[in-house]
Amino acid sequence: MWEYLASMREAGQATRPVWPWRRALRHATPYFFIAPWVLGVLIFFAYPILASFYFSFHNYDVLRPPVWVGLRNYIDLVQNAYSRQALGNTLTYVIVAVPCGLLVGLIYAMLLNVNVRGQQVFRTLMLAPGAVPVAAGAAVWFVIWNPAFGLLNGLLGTLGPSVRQSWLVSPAMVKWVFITMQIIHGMGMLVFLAGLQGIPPEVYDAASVDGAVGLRRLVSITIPMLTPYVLYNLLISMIGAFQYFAFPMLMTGGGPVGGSTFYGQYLYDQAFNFFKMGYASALAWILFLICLLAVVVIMRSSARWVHYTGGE
Amino acid sequence: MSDRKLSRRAFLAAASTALAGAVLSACGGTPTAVPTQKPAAAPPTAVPPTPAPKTPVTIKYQTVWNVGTPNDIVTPAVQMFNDKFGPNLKAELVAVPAVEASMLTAMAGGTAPDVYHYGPDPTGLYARGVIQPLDDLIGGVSGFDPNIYLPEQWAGETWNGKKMGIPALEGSFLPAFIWNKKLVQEAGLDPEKPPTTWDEIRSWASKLTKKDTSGNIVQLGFDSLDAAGSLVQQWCQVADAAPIDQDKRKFSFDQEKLVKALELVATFWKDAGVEKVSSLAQQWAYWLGPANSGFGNGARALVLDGAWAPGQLKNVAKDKTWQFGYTWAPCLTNPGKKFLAFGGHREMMPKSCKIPAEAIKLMTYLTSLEVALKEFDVRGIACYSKPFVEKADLKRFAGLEWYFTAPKEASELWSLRNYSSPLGGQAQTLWNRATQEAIYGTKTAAQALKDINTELQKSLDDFYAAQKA
Repeated sequence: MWEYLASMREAGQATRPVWPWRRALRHATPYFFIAPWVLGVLIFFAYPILASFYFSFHNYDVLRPPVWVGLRNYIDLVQNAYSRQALGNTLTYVIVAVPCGLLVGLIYAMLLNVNVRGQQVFRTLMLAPGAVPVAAGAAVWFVIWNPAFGLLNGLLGTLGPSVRQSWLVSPAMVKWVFITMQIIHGMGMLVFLAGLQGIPPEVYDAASVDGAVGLRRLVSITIPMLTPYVLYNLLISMIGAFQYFAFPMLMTGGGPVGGSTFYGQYLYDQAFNFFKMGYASALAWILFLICLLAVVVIMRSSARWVHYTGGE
Repeated sequence: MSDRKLSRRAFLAAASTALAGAVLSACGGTPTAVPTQKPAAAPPTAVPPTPAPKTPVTIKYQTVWNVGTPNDIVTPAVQMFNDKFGPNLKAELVAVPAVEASMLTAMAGGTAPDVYHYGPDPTGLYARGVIQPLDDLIGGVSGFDPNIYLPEQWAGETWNGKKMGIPALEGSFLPAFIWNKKLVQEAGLDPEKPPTTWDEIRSWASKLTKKDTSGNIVQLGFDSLDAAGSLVQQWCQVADAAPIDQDKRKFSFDQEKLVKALELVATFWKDAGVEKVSSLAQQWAYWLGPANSGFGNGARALVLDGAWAPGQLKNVAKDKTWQFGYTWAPCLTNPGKKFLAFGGHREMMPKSCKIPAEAIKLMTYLTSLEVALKEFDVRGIACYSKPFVEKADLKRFAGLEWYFTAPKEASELWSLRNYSSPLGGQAQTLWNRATQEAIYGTKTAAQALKDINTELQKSLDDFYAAQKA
């Protein structure tokens, strides 16, 4: 485009002068087209992020000017037993729910990839729960997990009263309820399904010729070819898991005894119930750093276990 | 490329400069939307009564309640105001309930309505200087007599000697100890001789608790966290112990009286089985208003609650023939002491309100007898005021009369002032946490209260440090 304009300029140079401002305007035109996006990023992302970093070093309640406290918010975070509990609950959730959830998501995807009659119906049924609002889903789960009248204990009770569990009312058990919910839901099923459908059938044909069947095909072909999708799902699911908030907030309010208080809810309480926006900002930055560290570790390790078709 | 005056490098340099400018403005200090405020800011000068405005004025009004429900009093009250003062002066209801998160962001962003109707402890907002003092504004309103309220009602709405809120739309003295007479009789107890000590209540609770064959509770005698029992101030009153000093500088949640109160709360749960009581709480709602209220449906037999209880029970009681008894809640540490506390809602005006003279008209109108009587029709309760007590037929709801005559017999009337702090919501949340720790036995009551006291004191010290700055 620039060459064209230059040639046009040369052609018209003998007959008409090109003003400098017009030249500059021409050169700047593409940047005007991307300016709305850039401004949006600066105003709605960059500025709040940098502002939260600034406020994390202050005692700030939004309604009054911030007061500098240095690293105290970060130190408080480490020293406060409630914040450590919330972080511990969240890390447990991430470490257990994400890998298991991905595995279950992969299993679901493999089942949905089987070419059977009614395949579209099964896929629709599996994807439909994703359209249910979180609040409605929480209400249903609440009925399932209730120790007294819930569906699950009702079934377990047929095996004997001692088989019934406390579920949501046990401080030790409650976070495992949420972990189980997420595992059952499965993570990344849709992406895995896309990945499975992207594996060329010729590869399986060639493997069949070599005598590879069943589990061997799964281990030597399917999973290696899905590793890029696993990496993507792992990163996205892990980042989402660090921010887990809605279900425990709605179902248990973080109790009992903080057993289901996750980092997101703890941060929310500090910011909006306790007016401690500075401390909440520090919490957010610590979460970001932990998440960043996890992402860096996974990305560094991915060179060893992610196989891209067509070379590295 | 060489013909270009604006190179990519130049553009990136300009963009970086713009970004650096954004960073510098972020580091620049106070958010521009929030004016620098000192709690002792001078109130506006007295506003003389104004004639009806010639250009239409709309007062934006936001309530903490959900509007459009069967018990909605705010919508008819706003309509009554508009009928009386319109068409040039009218109130417009903001449909979204006023909750702390939205109020915080609205006030910080300068988009707060002109008047808030708010229920939870507002002291945190009063102390942060975002609410308009009302003394001079009230003086400019004809027809409003502050003496319709008792001193205890005003005490809770006062900060630094200035009135910050006006009690209106729900507010009365609580608690009463309430029992379901039929369930009590079925348990072999005398419904006309209620317990007078907490040990007696514990005994009653034990006899009133029934379980099914699986060990699940089908009827619980007393849940110490039901209704008014869920409020930190309730147990402060039961313990006859203020959790903070009068200067609002030093917390004392870890005092012996409150430790005893927390131990009492935990005892009721432990007596019936902690996890069983918790399961029941998930099945039957707390308080008396919801249709699935545990007490209203006979799933709980005893409760502590306020003057709204008779009106609510008339609507939600599962069996309309049920009768309920009302008497004094025992004082744990001072046996025989008759105590009540004023608890209620208030109207507040954010400092960002640009039409204070008009907004105060709405706020004072909501205290009028006609609104109170309308509220009484709709909800079976209204904010305690002398005109209301004289005019309302308190016998219309069984038990209501007790609440309006008991203040005369009480040896102490608590106000919000006794237990409020600038940390309001945090104190309640941490009390809830300490309660759970004591109930589940993860900490002793003493340790749980010591820990929350430490955290609250730190937050309070931070609050005053920011105040000085």
